[in-house]
Amino acid sequence: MELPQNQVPQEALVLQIQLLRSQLEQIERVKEFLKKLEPGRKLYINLGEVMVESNYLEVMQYLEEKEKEIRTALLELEAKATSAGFKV
Amino acid sequence: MAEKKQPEIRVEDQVRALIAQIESIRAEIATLDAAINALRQTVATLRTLKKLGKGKNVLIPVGSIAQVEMKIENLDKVVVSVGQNISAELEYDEAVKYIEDEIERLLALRLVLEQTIADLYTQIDQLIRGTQKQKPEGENK
Repeated sequence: MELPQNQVPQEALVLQIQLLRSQLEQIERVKEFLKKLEPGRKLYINLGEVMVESNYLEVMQYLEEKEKEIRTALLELEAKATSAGFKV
Repeated sequence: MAEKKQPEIRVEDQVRALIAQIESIRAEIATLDAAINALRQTVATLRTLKKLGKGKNVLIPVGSIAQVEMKIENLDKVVVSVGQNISAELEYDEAVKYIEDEIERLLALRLVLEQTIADLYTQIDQLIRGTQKQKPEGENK
């Protein structure tokens, strides 16, 4: 049976929320790791097949933007879950 | 008017749901095992390259089918992926330690998943025992 549009099955919604939360945790872990590195270390951002050389500030900015995007998506999903009446 | 009773979930369905959970956790464990093996392989390769030392010719994979010959120049630094599309240049020893710590983290996670499976089996066992206890009473009536 096909579900009506905008209706995500509960399990899929919960999994998406868990996935986003674990991504946020991972971002936090990477940020903490980078903070502990001594300055001047070469850092790279992976762009698919190639890696571009970067620096601490750029990488932190990249991670913060990513974090912001994930938080927005997470808030949307959590709101959806709350309105559907289940705990996540 | 009589209150509408919530339909009871049958024991068989509960057991089936628990088995499905166990299977999905087993799949996660298999993924973790693959990741752990890959990391162990990386540590082994790094150690071998270090032993081979500067000037040795090695074949470096390019994609999944091609390889190009290169000379080991400097193995004091290793670029390691630290997650979220970020890689960092680490000293050789730091890199090996980072990877070994990562293996430990995954092994700890694996242990938690194994424990979860054991708990789920206990739940299944309790459900089955519960049904078996109820059966003789029903039969006596």
